[in-house]
Amino acid sequence: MADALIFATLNGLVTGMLLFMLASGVTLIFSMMGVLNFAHASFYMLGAYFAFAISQQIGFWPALLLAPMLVGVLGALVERYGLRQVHKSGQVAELVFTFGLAFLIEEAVQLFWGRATQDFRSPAALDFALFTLFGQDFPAWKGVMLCISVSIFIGLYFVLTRTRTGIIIQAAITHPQAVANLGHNVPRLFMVVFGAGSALAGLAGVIAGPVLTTFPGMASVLGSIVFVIVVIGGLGSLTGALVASLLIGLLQSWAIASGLGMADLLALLGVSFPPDHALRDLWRLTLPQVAPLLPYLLLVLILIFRPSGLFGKRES
Amino acid sequence: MRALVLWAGFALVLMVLPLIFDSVLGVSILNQMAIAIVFALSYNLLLGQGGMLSFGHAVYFGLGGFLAVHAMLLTETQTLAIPLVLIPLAGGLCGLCAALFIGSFSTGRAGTVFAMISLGVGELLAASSLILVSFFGGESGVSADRTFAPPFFGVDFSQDVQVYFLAAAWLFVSVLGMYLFTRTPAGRLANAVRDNPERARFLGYSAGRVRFISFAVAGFFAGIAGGLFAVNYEILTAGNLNAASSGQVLLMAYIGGLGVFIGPILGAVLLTLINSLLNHYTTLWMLYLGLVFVLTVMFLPRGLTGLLMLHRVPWQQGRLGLLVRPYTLTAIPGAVLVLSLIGLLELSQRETGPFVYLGIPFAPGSAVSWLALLAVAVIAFVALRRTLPGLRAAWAEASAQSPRSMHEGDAP
Amino acid sequence: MSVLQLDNVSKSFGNSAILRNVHLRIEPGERHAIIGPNGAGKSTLFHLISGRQQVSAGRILFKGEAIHTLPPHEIARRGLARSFQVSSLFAQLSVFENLRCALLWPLGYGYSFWHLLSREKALNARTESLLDELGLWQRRDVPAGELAYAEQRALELGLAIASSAELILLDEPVAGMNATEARQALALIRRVTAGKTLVVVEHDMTVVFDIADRISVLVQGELIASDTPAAIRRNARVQEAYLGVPVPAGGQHA
Repeated sequence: MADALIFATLNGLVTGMLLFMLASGVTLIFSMMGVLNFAHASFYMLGAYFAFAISQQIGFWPALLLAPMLVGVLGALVERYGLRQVHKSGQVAELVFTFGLAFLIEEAVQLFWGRATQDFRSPAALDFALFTLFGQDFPAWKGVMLCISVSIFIGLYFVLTRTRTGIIIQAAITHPQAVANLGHNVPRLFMVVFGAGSALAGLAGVIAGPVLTTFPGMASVLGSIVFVIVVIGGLGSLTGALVASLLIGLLQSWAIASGLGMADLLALLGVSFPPDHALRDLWRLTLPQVAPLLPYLLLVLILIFRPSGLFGKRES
Repeated sequence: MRALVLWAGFALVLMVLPLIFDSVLGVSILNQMAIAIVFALSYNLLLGQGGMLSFGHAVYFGLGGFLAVHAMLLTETQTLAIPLVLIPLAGGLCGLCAALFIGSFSTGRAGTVFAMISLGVGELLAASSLILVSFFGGESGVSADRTFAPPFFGVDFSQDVQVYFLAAAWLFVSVLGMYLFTRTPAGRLANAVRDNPERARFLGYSAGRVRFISFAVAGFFAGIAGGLFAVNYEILTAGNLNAASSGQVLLMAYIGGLGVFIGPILGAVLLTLINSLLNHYTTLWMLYLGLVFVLTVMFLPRGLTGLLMLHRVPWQQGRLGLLVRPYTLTAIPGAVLVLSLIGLLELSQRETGPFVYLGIPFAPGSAVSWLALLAVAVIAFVALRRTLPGLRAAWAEASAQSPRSMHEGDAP
Repeated sequence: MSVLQLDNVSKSFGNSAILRNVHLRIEPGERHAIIGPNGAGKSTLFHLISGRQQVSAGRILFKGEAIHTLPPHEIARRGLARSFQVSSLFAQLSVFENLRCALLWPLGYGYSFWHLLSREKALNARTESLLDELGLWQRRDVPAGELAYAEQRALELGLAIASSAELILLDEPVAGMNATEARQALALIRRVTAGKTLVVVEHDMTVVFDIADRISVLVQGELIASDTPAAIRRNARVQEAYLGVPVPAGGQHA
């Protein structure tokens, strides 16, 4: 039991930090521009695919650097030539635009790489167990993932609190109007933030691609979860995004590892039902089965009872 | 009186259509259209009329459909004899009940919060549908046989045309019902709340209550569409209530145009045609669809009907003629550009054999083919850039003297 | 019985008090103006009365009933209507539809989805006479968002008076208008609010002294005077607060 718990916690941390790399971008973009970016996970997918393509040509390590940069440039272009055009049609149009973009990117990925899963692997040099506990291996690559995502977190924290741009961004989050009045080039700042957020998502894609498999559906698998996190944490709150990322990562990981089910609960209560009972599906539910549902359940509950999220101040 | 003529005309068109398109494919497409129109119009009650952006409208379509299939199964097992013509109503009632429940907590707020709840509920149900096998049938879905239903005045619905007339009747009733709803106090208040929920409150109306009513009505008609789907295809799967299905209806309504009542009808007709015809010719039709959608959001925020409505002012002023020449001049390079780009995309997908496109054979992997298409595209692009200013100027002239005319960039 | 009664009403956001212990009585048929420098809390006072914001302390009675715990739509239904300082219209609906929406609740349609608006003769006739009264007949089918500024103000006023509420709150009805427009607007207000109880927040002193038969002065969240226009004109505290003129020796002290 203890070994399962430790590994579930480690895996939950890895997933949680990965989710945070995406959630932080969505949060920053939302706070500044008021746009909830549906296509954010698509940039994550592009990161994985670009890295796969580059790693086939010149190796994995250059791809780790180049792919996120490419995605970042693409994101900036999308902001400059797409989103800015839609901005004047209002918030709903912007949300619909990013939704369409996500759809388009998924199709474009299939155009270039097809529907099949790509054989994108972490570098062979890292194909060893970082440590072995209770006879179970913890792969080195997951350690690297954790390292990268934690350093990104620290870097982000540093940029936001110590640099000039970061301070302007912080100001824009709390007082969106004021920053424009101070004469900063707000459109360019938007482009930079959107590009940087996309690049972060791209990086997440590069490191997650080998583990979570690189296929055209990878964006939609993660996309709605990231949304859930951003809303649960509280729209516009980076702290909230971090807490919610870890919460969701750990919750899912534990639920899957536990293997408990309704049957166990019923046994504990000493109740039993005939196997052909009308609600038989309910009595057979197991936690691993329900794990994918948990984030959405949490989302709906949070939105009903605390629409500003765990750490949020604004409602929408 | 004019309205009566219009509705009679609509009914007549519905009657005549299967006589014109009498092939198997034709009737099948007509059936799909009927379903799509009801679904898209119900979505418009939310987004276009009520200002509620939903990412989970397929929930009500799907639940209505699943209940309809189960109702058909009840008839099949002779537990209950429900006439097939009433099956869509069963779907509608199921959609209504689901919407009453979910609307009771999700319509309190509009905007992002509503959009997120709809997304959450949609994903929740889509994921549960794979777990709750006895109702949703798991991966393979639930199917039933419509011909077990008692014959309706001798019609046994074994043929698609018979189903068409059932669907057309429900289509007529639903379109009429939704149109009339927009003309009632509740329907008009939905517009008011969309524009300014705050002000509606000070006029005595709870914005949440107004949204709730629209939401319930939209759920009812989405359920009817789902019921029609069940009757037509005799099977429902988890794919009918997932996010992709919700996305499709958003696409239809948006491309057609949200501002005008017939917008979503146009969108549904067009997208059904694209869905069922284009996929015979290309594997890339989803990509084209995505491109059309994104370009619509960017340049035609009011959709295709919005574009048509823009011509109202020049038309009223009798200046539509001014636009003919610049339109033609722009359309030619525009069409060439689009066609050459499509050619390039299609060429990239072929691996072997000659690829005959517009009567011209192209060879995948040959530089000449690529360069030729690319050159045409570049030339067309340059030409387009030169003709566009002329079109803009003509527009300005044609719609002059009416500074208060509709603007494309208005708030949605 | 007073139409409106504010007892000890206070409002604060965090640590900053916007309104402190406001007492106010408005009698039936009264035309009451609330004046005060910028940031005195006039608009907040309206927001509290109409239910847009919640009081921090105290109570508000409308026709003897407590309304300070009710949501805005419940207050509106009891016969209290208001206008906004910044026009708050249904931008995509026509002028006619805007006014018709304002008449729906007062005429008892509720949330009906079984009436067809076009068939409701009495409702449409009322809407049309309102259009006429506001001088917006020519602009009947224009979307509210495309109206000129003065027309938007007229429609804003129309939405407030449509319900024939007993008490009407007008928040700076002539703000931003030139002299001619303001004069016309004032005549309109006088005409359409005849016989009703009126509370107006206004900056323009000529308007205030022209329209009001009682005036309350709000300074830094406190109601420092509530009296007839003539008395207010003479009031030393008001002069000091308003004009920054020190009170002459021998006068009352603040």
